[in-house]
Amino acid sequence: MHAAMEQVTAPMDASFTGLDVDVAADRAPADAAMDRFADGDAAAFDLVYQTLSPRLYRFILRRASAAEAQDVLQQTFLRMLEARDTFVRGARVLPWAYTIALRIFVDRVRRDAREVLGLEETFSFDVPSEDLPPDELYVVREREALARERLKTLPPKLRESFELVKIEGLSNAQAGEILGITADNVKVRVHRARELLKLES
Amino acid sequence: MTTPRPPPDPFSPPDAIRLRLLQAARAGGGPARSDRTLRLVGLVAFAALAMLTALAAAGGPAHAEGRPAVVGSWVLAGSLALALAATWFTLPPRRSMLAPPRGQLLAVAFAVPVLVGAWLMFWHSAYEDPFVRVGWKCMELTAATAPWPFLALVYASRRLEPRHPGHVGAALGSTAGAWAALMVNSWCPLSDPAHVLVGHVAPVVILSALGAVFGAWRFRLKRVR
Repeated sequence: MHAAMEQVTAPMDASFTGLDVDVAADRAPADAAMDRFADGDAAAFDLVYQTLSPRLYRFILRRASAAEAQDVLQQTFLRMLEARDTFVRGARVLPWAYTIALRIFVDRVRRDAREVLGLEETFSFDVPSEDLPPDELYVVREREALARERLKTLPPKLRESFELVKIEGLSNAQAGEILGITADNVKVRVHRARELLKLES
Repeated sequence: MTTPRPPPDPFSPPDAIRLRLLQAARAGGGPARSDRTLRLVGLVAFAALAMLTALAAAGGPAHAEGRPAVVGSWVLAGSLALALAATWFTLPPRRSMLAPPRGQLLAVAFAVPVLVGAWLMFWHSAYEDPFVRVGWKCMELTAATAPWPFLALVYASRRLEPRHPGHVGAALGSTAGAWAALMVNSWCPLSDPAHVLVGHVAPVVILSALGAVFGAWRFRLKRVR
């Protein structure tokens, strides 16, 4: 049983984290670009979008349909456009963008009063390479599906923290900033999520 | 021989969104950033002046003559420390676009009225109140002095809070109440518990509630068309 859970959680920590690029490495260019955009350089917004949109889109896709995710993504960036004069020099744009996306999504769900988890037809941790041999691809997809099912069973608060830290690869501090809780609180929630995932295996 | 075009990645957003957003960015979006520091300093100076004017109009610190000077100094020092601490814990960290954690904001919203009352009542046994009042005048003075620091705090808080706008507003209201309490405590010599509850604690609670309503309306995310 434990071995089965290892199969589910291990990929989340490494290859299935959804991180195609190093978090620390992609942070600075987006921050600097947002600073330039806030100062009036409209062209810099493209870099902000190119850097953040794939991660944000994937993050929202885990919760919503493709059409909804596209709308939330668009609304997120429109909010950032509108609020560019308030962007604090030297601030990190990533936690801000995640927070806006999450809030728009939550507001949307509340408004629509629909069950979010039922809409996850396009959910995925990562895009497995099509170059993999069919049998390996099958294992990867099976493992993803299993992990996905496990995540659905977590309470929303634990799930959000777990996804941001373990799948999006953010630090506890960044996740705490996004969720409005302390880094220690995030750590506790992630730990509890892991424990629950282990118990369910 | 042509290579077949790879199918679009289902996990990447459509390019149409990017083009639409870039068009919106080129069209202007919100106004470009300007230096807010100077404006903030100006606003803080204005708030201080407005509070002092309201205090002077009510009779100034001379109204508190019946209270021993040493006690008065301690009361004011404690009130100032509370106002500074509340401001520190309420405003966003220096290099962040997001407000402090929800627990911290709630702590400020609840602790400020409690501490304002407790600090005044702490001195109740140290001297005899020079007269007896219900506390309506103190409430009025709070109402006259609190809006100005509230305006400055709202400006300093950067206007957008996607996570918990109501909590931010409540904490800002309480913090403005703490600054108003500094003015009121320099004017009012009374420390009778009943008076303190009506004239000093209740206004801060009301400010916190009003701040929560304001925050939920002003700081929340609105849909952009």
